[in-house]
Amino acid sequence: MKDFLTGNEAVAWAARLSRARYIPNYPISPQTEIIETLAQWHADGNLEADFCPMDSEHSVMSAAIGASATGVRVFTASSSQGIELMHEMLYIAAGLRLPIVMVNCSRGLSAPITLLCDHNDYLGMRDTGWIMVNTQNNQEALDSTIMAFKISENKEVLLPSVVNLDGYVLSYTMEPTIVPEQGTVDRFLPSYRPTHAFFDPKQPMVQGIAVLDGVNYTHFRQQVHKAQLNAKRVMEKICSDWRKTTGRHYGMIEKYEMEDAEMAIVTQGSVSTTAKAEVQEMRRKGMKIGLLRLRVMRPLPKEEIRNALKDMKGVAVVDKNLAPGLGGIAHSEIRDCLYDIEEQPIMSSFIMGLGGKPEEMKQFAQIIDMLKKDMIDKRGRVRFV
Amino acid sequence: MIEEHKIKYEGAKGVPVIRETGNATKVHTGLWRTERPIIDYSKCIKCKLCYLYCPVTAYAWTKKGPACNYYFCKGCGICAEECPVKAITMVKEEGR
Amino acid sequence: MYKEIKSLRDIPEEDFLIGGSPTCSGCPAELGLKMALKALGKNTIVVNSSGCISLLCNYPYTPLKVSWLHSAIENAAATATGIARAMRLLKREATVICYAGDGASYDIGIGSLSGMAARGDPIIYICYNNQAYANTGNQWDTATPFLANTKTTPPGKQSKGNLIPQKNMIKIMGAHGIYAASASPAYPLDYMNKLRKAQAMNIPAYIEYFSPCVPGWGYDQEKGIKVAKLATESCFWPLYEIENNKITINYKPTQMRSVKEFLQLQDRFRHLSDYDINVIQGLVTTDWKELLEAEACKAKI
Repeated sequence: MKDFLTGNEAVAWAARLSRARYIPNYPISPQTEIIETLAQWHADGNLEADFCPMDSEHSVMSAAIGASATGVRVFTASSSQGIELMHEMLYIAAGLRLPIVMVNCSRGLSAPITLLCDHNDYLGMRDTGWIMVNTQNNQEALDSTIMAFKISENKEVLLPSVVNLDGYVLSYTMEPTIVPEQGTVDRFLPSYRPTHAFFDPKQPMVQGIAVLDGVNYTHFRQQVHKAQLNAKRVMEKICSDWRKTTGRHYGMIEKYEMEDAEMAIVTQGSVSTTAKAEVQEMRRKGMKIGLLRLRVMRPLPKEEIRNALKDMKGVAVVDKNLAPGLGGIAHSEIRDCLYDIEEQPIMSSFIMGLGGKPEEMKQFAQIIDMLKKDMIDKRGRVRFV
Repeated sequence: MIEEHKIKYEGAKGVPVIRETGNATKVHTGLWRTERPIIDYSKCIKCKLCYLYCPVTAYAWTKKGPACNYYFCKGCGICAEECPVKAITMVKEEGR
Repeated sequence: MYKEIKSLRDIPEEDFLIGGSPTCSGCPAELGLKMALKALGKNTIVVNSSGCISLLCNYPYTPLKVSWLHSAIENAAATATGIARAMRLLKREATVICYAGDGASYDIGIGSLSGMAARGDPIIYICYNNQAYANTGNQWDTATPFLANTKTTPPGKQSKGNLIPQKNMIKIMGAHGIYAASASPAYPLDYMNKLRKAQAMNIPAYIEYFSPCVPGWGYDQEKGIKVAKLATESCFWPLYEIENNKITINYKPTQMRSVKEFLQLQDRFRHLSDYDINVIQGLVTTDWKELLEAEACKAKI
C-alpha cells in the first residue's frame, strides 16, 4: 500500500512487518512517535509483540540484550541523550553478538540542549561494533529497517544494526511511502532462530562471561571485526535481494552525477536530497560536479569510496556533525580511504546543519566556490557553513 | 600477526559464550589451601551442615556422610567451625 | 503453594554451583548463590551484575550448571526483564533470578531495580549485601553501616569512618508492593524457603542476603557463618519479610545479644571506642524497636 507517512510511522511499519517480538522503549524526541504508533497498534491487537515501556534508555538496551540473548527478535528506537545514556550497553550488545535493530532519529547532543537534528549521536556509535546505515528519505528508512534484521541475523554477521533517520526533517515529515505487504516481508525475512546465543533450560548456556586474558579477549574482538568485514558482502547480497523483491535498490554508497565529475560533494542523510538539487543546478550551468552519499558508515566501504573519489580534483565533505578539535567526522574517515592513491584530491571539511541549522541549496554552491579556492591553494580547510 | 582479511571467521564459536556448563572441574583450587578438613566419622551425626555450608561444594553427601573433594577444597574452615559436634578438624597441609 | 524445606535432611541434593571458582576462600556470597540454586532448581537463569560473583564465569571455565547472563553493573533487573519477557514469548519455563551486590542494587542500579519491581515481572532479585563495593577493594556505598572502615571512608585524625547512615533497601523495595525479605547464610532454611515462596508467588521479589566479606570486613575466614549469626542474634541484621506492604518478623531472638560481640570479630570496626560501640548499640536497639512496632501495628509501608 502507498500512504503519506512520517519517518517515524514508516519505521514503525518496518518493525511491525518484520515481526519484531520484543520492543522495549523509552520516550525521547524526536522518536517518540515510533513507540506511540507501535503502542496503539499493540493496544488494538494489531502488533504481535511484547511492547515493554522501561525506566530509562539504559534499561531499554539492557532489556533488549536480555531478550535477544534469550533468542527473540528485538526492535527499539532512541535518539541523542538516550543513545548517550545507553552507550556502554551498545558495546555490550555488539560484543555479545546480538542482532538487535535500533532506529536512531538523530538529534543534536547536549550541551547546549537542542531537539533538532544533527548526526553527532549517530556517529558516536562508530566504535561500538554496530552496523550503521544512514537514510535520506522515509522510504529508505522503512526498507533499511527491514533489511537490517536480515543482515544482523545472518550467521556470517551476528551484529546489531542502527538505522538512522534525521530527526524532524524525516522523522516528523510526511512523505509518500510504499509499505510492503506482510507476505512479501515474511518471504524475505524468515523468523529468528539463533544457534549461537539463546536461553533454554534444557541446554544451559553461559553468556556475558569475563575474559580476563588478553589473548582470548583479542580473539573475540577480532571476530567482531571480521563480522563487520563479512557484513559488507552480506549487505550487498541482501540489498540485491530487496531489489528483486521490491524494485528498490540501495548500496553502501550512492553516486549522483559522478560519471565525469571533477569535484564531488560528500553527504550523509537527508541533506543529500537538498545537495542533489543544487548539483543538478550546477550541472545545468556546465560544472562538472557530482555527489557521493555515504549510506553505510560501518562497515566503512573503503573500496567504494576510493573508487568513487580517486579521480576527483577536489572533494567537499559535508558533515552534519562536529568533533571539536578535529573538524568533521566523516571528513577524516573519507580522507583515510584516499590515502593510498597517487594523486590525492584536495579535501575540505564543511560543517553544516548542527543542531538543526537550516541547510539551503545555495550553500552548496558556496561550498563549491570555497572548494575551488582550496584547490588553488592546494590546501584543504575546515569551515563552518 | 594477522592481516584483517585473513582472520578466520568462527561463527558461533567466536561468540563469547560457554556451552559446557560446570566445566570448572578442571580448576584446581585445592592448591590454595594451607589446612585441610579431616572428618572423624565416629562423631558425625549426619546433620548435613558441612555439606550445605561449603561455599565451593567440596562435600558430596554419601551413605557414610560427608566426603570432601580435596581437589576443590580451599581450606576455609567453615565446615570445622560450624560442625555442632566438632567432628571436623583443620589439619595443616604438608609442605605449605 | 510451595514445597517447604522443613529440615536440613530435606535439602535437595542436586548442586548447580560446583567447585573450581576463583572466589575468596570461605566466600559467603558464593555460598548464597549455591543455596539459592539448590532451592530453586535447574530451570533457573541467573542474571548477574558486575561484582565479585561476575568472576565465577571467567572464560573458558564456569562452575555454574545453569544459564547465566552478565551484562553490566547497574542493569541486572532490566536485563532480567528482557529475559523473562522473551522466555514467555518463546513459551519456555524458567525462573529468572538476579544475583547482584549491594553496590549494584542500592546505588548505581536502583533505577532499573525499581523499574523492574514496578513492572511486575516474576523475577527474584537477590542482593548479596557485603555492605561495600567489595570487588573493587571495599569502598563505601549506601549499604555501608555507620562508622565502618572502608577504603573511601577510612578512620583518621579527622574521621571515625563512615558517617552516612545506611539506606533500608528492604523497606524501599517492600514499598513497591512486591515481596521483600532479608536473609542470612546462618539461617539457610529461612533463606531457601523465602526463595521458594517468592518463586511460587510469581511476582517480583527482593531478597537481601547478608554476605560477610572475608577481606573487606577483616574476619577469620572460617567465621563467616558465625559473623552472620551474631548479626541476627544482636538484631543488627534482623530477619523479616514484607508482603503486601506489611512487615512480618521471621526471627525474634529470645535474648538480644550485644552488638559488640558482632563488631569485635571484624577489622572494619577495630578503630571504634567503647563510646562509638554504644552509639551503634543505640541505633540497632532503636531500629529493632521500630521494626517490632511496625509489625505490631500492621501499618502499610
